[in-house]
Amino acid sequence: MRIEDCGLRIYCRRSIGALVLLACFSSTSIAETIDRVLAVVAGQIITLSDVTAARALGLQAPGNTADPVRAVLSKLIDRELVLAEVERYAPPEPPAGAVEREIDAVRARFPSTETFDDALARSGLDDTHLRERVRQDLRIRIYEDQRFAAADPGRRQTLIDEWVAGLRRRAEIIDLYLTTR
Amino acid sequence: MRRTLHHGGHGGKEVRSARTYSAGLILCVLCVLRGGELTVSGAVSDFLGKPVASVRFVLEGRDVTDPTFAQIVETAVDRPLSMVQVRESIAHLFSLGRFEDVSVDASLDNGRVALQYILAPIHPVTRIRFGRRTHAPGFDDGALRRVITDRYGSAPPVGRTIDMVRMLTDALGERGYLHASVTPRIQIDHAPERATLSFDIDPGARTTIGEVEIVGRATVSRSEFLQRLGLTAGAPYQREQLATRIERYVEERRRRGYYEAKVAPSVRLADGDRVANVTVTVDPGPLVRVVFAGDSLPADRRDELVPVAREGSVDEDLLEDSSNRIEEYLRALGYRDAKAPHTRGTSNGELAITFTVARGPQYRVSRLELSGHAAVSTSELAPALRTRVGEPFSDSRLDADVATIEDAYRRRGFAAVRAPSAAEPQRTANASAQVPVIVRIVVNEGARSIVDGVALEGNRALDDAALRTRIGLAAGAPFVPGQLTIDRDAIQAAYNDRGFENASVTARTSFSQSNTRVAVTYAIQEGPQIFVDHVLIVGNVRTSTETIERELQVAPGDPFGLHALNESQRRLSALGLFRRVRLAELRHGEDTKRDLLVTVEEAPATTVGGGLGAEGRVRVVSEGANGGVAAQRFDVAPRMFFEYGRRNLFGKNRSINVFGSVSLHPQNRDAFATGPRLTEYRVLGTYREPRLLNTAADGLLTATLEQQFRSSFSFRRRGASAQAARRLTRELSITGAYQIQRAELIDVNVSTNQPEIGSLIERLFSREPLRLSSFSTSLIRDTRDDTVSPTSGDYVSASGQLAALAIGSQVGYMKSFFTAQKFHVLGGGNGIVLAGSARLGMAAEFDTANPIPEPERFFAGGDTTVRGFALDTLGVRHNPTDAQSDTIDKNGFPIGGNATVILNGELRVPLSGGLSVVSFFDTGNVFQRVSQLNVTDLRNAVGFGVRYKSPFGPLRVDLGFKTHVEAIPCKADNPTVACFETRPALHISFGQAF
Repeated sequence: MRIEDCGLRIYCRRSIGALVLLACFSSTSIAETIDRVLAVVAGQIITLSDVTAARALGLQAPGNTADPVRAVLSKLIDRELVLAEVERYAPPEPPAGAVEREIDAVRARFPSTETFDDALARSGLDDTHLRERVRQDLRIRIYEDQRFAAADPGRRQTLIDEWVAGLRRRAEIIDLYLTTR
Repeated sequence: MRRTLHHGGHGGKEVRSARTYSAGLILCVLCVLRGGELTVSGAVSDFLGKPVASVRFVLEGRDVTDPTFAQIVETAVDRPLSMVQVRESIAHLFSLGRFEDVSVDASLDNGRVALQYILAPIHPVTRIRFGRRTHAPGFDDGALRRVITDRYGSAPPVGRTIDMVRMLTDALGERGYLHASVTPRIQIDHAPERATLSFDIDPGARTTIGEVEIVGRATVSRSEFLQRLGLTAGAPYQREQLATRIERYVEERRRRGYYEAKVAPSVRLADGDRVANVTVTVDPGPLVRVVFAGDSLPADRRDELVPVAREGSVDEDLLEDSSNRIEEYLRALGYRDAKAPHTRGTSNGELAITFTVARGPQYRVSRLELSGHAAVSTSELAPALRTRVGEPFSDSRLDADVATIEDAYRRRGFAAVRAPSAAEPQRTANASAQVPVIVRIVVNEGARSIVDGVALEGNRALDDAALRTRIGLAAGAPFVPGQLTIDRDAIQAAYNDRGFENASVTARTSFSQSNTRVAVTYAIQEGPQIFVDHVLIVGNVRTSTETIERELQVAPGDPFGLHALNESQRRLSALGLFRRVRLAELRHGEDTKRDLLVTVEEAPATTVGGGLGAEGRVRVVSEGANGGVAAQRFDVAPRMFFEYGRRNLFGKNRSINVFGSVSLHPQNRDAFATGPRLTEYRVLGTYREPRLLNTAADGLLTATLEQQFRSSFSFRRRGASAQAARRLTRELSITGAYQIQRAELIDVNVSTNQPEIGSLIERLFSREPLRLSSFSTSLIRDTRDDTVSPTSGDYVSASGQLAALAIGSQVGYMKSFFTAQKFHVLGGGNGIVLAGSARLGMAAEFDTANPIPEPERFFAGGDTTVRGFALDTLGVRHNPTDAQSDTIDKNGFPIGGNATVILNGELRVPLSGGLSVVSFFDTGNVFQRVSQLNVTDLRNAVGFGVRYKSPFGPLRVDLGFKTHVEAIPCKADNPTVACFETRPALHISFGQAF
């Protein structure tokens, strides 16, 4: 880019000055959304930090999609629906060691303890939260194993998907993520 | 972001390119600042751990301050920002139920974090509008609005807009608009927050009926058939209406006996779905007749056993079930070999379903042999057995008896008991009609298992001692298998009450080789304990939060216990302040902590009531002028009442009530001719202070102003009382009170011209106003299921009263009253209630020359005591009058007594439509002194009555009869002329007698 004209130079300098001012101003006054409600499933909220946690800790994989938040949020909505069913039928608690193994697996996804702790802090989780989340995931697994025990392994996932789709139809889901896009 | 940069060129072009560059750069910076994707991790890192500078709440663009927000938000100024706290704060704010969205914005302010909670309030839909073509044929705004309001009510949630669009589209499709377009719009209004929901509707072209083809034979002409189905070429095609008409047609055919009639439509759309060509396939089915052949069945049982007409079907499963039902019915009557197969046969276009009943011989129990039972005697087992000698034999009854015997043994620890049975028919000459059966039940008792020990495994939060109090099985006791389940549930409940919502308990048993000893183990998986994080109370406008919190049995930090939650719900509902109370748990972040959301919907604070009515009862009036003999009159008194109540004063559940009533009574025989006079009124004001002086007792201040009309006198009373009442348990309560009153007799029917008791009457019926000051107390145990019309439970009360000169009373006396009532539903399932009541009153004055005044003495007789007598007319009398014991004077007027006994028994039989009948037996009397209480002097009455649960309350009519009538004087001036008491007494009133 060539800038030859004096007036033009002044114009550009002022523009850059304005930008610098704007940048300085923005550091104190432009607010950033750090968390918000993305969905409400049967009265339970799912927040942006829930989605962040699920992605950062590898608890839910977004897959190959243009909108990973949407993809993870959908999975968390399904998880909440399934969890409500799990609570109704109260399957057995997961074995004591199973929760520890799962947490170790999550830790192993990070190169160091510091990065793991940092990811937890950014996601709004602590050790207790993570333990509980993992425990609930295991309870969901136990429940599905019980419920679909007789299913042909090839058709099992299809049956689960149909069941979850049925839960979605019956449940009250408010999807606020739609309104942010 | 795409940057467009132009190289080279002159003048304006360069200016434009530079401007573009600048604008692009600005946009780029803004994009970097705002973030391209909705993600937080990068942004969060800039703020995490930095101290919070400020916390603001922004509602629709303006800052708001609400103390509730500050209480429930975790992020505090000067503390490092934590996303855990941000997430919790969002959850708490959302839980309030006032916001449809909550987001948290952060910005840096000199290295500190300025937090903003952006709150989007819920905008309830207050208006629904329809735009564009909403008046196309077949629907209008009203019909469309009903589609929404029938499902979501008058204020549908905005979040359901997509569902509403689908419902409207479906509704239009049902009316023939198969390609309608519905576009929603939402207009939000503020202050107050509300929304208007608009739907733009383009119904599109309406599909009409084209060709109609009928396949099969309709039983009516083609034109009539099409008319009944509403199928006319060119008419709108309406799927739902067609289905309804077809259903109606088929129903009608089935009612006529064509149970197999079928009509099935199929539709082919043509011309871009503008035309629906309909084919209707009709199968009229044959006329069905149900025929019973062979042995007879009672006519009144046939429809029940073979419900073809009721079900409108001759489905094979139904017929199979019918055959089985007939056989079971006959086998229960002893026809053990009964058969009732069915066949289908068609002739002359009719389908005959024939049940051929073959009862076979009737088996009767000729002998019942029970053997092998050593541990349980025959006398213990026999009453429970339904198989009895001489009665028809039934296999199902025998099976039930075997189960009864085995159950009796298992309850005594014989876990392995078996009681095989055999029925042996005997050959007889008349075997085709009656077959005697010998029934043998052999009890194999097996070993009696004694519990060796009960072990608990896996319990950490609750120790053995706490759990063992809930367990029924114990070492050394017989092992009862059914108790295992009860114990398991009890342990689980104990954990649930401590917040272990996922606790699971497994019961294991280990028997010794001889099965005589058994070790029981309850293995417990506790799961996590859930605690209350925050208690959020919403919906209270007038009621203070403290009033609600006082009734809650859980507080932050407590276990989320099931019992505590249920008790909290019960207590809040019992306050009477709320239309609805809902307790819900809210999960967030940490799943071992949950918020408790208490949502209340307040009831109106002011209640106003009033009414008109009439009361009818037999009363005693003076036959002549002053000193005339008592005569009974049926007195109908018009009544009116008014009440005003204001509850929840100052938000503290305090309440104030004012009640006033007026009755117009004809006062005596002469008064009948002159019309009613104002004789009774009552004004009662009460103020209730719950949790008096922060104790568990409730306080009650009462002021009374009344004038009452009794048989022998009328009195006027002004009084005030202060009472403290405390509920010790759910059933037991105690009260203590102080009363002061001024009572004055204003009208007396009793003549003082009675030599024998004249001085007593002068003292009792003194017109001098009296001040009475007294303390009283009562203890009440109430387990009745309903206070108005109980069907089960007990009511027991004991009360005492002390009036003394030392506390300002002009008369000193002690008085006590005891009541015991029991209500019991008789077996048989028809709801018959047996009710019994016993009442005993005793009193004594400190100075016999200064007797207890008339309004405080005991009287009996009337609709709530002994119903064969008119109001107050029960008493002891002699001829000539005995001044030491009589409570009725020589003219028949009651003077009251210091002791009374009233006993009642009543059988309440419900009929239908809120109507019930009763029969009763009442007995009782009034005595001058406690020492004269004598059961041989009780007077009896029997009778019957009718109750009706009217919208205004339970109406009651009772007609009682004295079992014995006594001679009474007919004329005051000539006691030798005797008449007899009137035997019946009629009472019309509200509520039960007791």
